[in-house]
Amino acid sequence: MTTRARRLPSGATAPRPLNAALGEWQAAVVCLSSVDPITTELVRLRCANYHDCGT
Amino acid sequence: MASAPRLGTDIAWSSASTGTVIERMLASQPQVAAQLAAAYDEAWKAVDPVLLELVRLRIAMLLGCAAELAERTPAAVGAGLDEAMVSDLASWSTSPRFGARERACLAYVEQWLIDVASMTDADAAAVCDVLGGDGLAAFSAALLVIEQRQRLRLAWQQIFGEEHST
Repeated sequence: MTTRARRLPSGATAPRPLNAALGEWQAAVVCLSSVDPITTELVRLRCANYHDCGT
Repeated sequence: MASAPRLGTDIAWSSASTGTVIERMLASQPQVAAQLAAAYDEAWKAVDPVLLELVRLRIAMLLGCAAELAERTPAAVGAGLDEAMVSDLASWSTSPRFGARERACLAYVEQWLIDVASMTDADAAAVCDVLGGDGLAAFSAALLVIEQRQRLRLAWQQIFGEEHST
């Protein structure tokens, strides 16, 4: 597994209202029930892989 | 039994704003549409609106989103958006109208849009140098919102747009 340097300086953050609005929107999308949870999870993991998101 | 009306038939796809498209397509999930609208509003407060308008228009050029290209965001116009700069946007890397700040940010946008997993430390550092650490964080979050709105619109347009209706 490769390690990568942090790209954002320690403590750097987007404005709280923008972070909060983004978080609320993404949470609402994940909670939609029209798509079954297995497909939703596969899409989420595929996106995480594409975006190189380890979390 | 009557079938439900096909989604998107009430949208003039070639001219409707992305906000209208999202509202109508998510009419049955208004809270999701409202939260995306709130994130979009916050993006314009978090980043210099002229810079963000150049980003929005460059994304529209690269994704082929004609409706977004035809619009101007009032906050950017009010902050002094230069149409000569917009005209030169496709040649931002060589046009003298663009300075180091815009070039670093537009290079970051293009890498993000085309292959975000291949973003380099140098791409991020270049934006950090011109916007600062908080600026890089805000710019990335705003870019995410701008990009996702346009991709969402275009995906729906491909599936439900007039030329695909039967």
